[in-house]
Amino acid sequence: MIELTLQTLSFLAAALLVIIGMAGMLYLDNLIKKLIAFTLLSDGVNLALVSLGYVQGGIVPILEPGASLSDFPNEAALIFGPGIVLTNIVIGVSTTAILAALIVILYKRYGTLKASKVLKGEHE
Amino acid sequence: MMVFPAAMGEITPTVVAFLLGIAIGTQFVARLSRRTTLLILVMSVVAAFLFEAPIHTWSLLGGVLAEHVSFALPFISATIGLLVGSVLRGSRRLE
Amino acid sequence: MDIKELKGIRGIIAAIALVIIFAGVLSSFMQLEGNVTRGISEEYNKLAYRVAPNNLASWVYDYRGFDTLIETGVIYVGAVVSVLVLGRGLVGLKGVDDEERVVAEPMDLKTETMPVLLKYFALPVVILLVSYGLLVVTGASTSGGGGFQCGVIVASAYLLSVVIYGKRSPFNLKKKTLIAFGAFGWGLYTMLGLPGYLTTNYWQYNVGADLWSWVPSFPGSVPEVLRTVFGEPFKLALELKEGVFYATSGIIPLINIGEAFNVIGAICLIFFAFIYGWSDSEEGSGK
Repeated sequence: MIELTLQTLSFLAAALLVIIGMAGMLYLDNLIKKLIAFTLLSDGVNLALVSLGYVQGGIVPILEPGASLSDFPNEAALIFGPGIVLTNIVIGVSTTAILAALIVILYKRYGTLKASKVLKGEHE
Repeated sequence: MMVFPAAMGEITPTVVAFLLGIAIGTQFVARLSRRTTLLILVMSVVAAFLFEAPIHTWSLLGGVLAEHVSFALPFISATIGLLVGSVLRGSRRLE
Repeated sequence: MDIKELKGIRGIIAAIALVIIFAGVLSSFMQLEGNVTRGISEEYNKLAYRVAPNNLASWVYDYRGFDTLIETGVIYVGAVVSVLVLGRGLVGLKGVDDEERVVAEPMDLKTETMPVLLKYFALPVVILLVSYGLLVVTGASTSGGGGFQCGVIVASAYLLSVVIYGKRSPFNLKKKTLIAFGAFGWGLYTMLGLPGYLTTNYWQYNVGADLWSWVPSFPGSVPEVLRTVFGEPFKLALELKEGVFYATSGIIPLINIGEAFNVIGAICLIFFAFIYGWSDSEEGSGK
């Protein structure tokens, strides 16, 4: 039996988000819904990266007034994950913008948001 | 080297926020009435009281004048900077 | 594929496939648990009392400083590609020009018919949001915050103003202003790699770079007050259990300001392209 720590739970939530996003991208027809599912998937990956730095009984990696200098390096959460997530968010913003722009163009061209019709080249 | 406690992390952000406020405030084209300006200033003071001073800054008010009361001075100075910047550029009244 | 097609045996196969992928993803996540080497970020945790209370800022802008510089260009790629795709139509899909273009209704709102709450409180809220963004960027080294967050907050203020007031938006960021903001921000970020290079021969070595090192050092060349308040920008007194330490985060807060301008420019450009279009809108949305 796996011990249910906070890290385990957040990994579980991250895997759920990833799988919901993947299911939405694969099985849903609407392009906007596919875009939303894509952002959910990227959120799941972000959550997994953030929970990598979890330290049992730890504190935020910000020196607060009255913090102990000797305990801080051991107690503070690892900043590796959030640092990578910052990159990931920036890339997510630009990817979402490009995808939304492409959806607008597809809508102007085909008059529909259904991926099945767009793939077959049908007009609404 | 400590000059005076308020200088530690308080004055530089306040000045920088004021300058940035002027830079962005020149992009506001609305000319504000006196009542709205007063409203914004009062709301900024209230908001600054709610945000409190950032950690590790020895606030100008907190600890000097009154214990446990601290204002986020960058917030107030940024608001004043925005108002000053909008006055510098303001040309159109928003009805 | 539509969700309605997933009936019967196909639906069962799809569900089983999802469960298998879920098990794979979850087990690979679980193997990471407790297996992370504490490595470089623990070094930065140890350095925290000499640099900046917010460890993440010093890590992102020092250890990953050059990387973050390139990465902020990525958001520009997003903005530029959105503008190209939406605005000038360089994609040139066949048949786009033959068909009737969908012309959006001009975004405008008569302020006479506006609810009283929106009429009197929208502009103060926009101004206070911008101030909040500036507070976040100036407190970047001490609390959770930074350039990207400030940029997003200011861009949301811009979006709020545009949505409420339409083309007569009081927060009137023009195309050229946005491009200038972004260029200024990225240029500032790049140029702030210079002090670190001059002092340590490493580009974007940002922690502890002394802005006054080029001044010949003799007593009284730089007044101590000036050096404390501006010379080592954003110097702090950390009250810790072991005593009071004086930490200076070097030029990290200034880099955050550069990044904030960069992000304001890029995200507002994306909003601008999506709301007004690019080639259709006249120069200056407020006219």
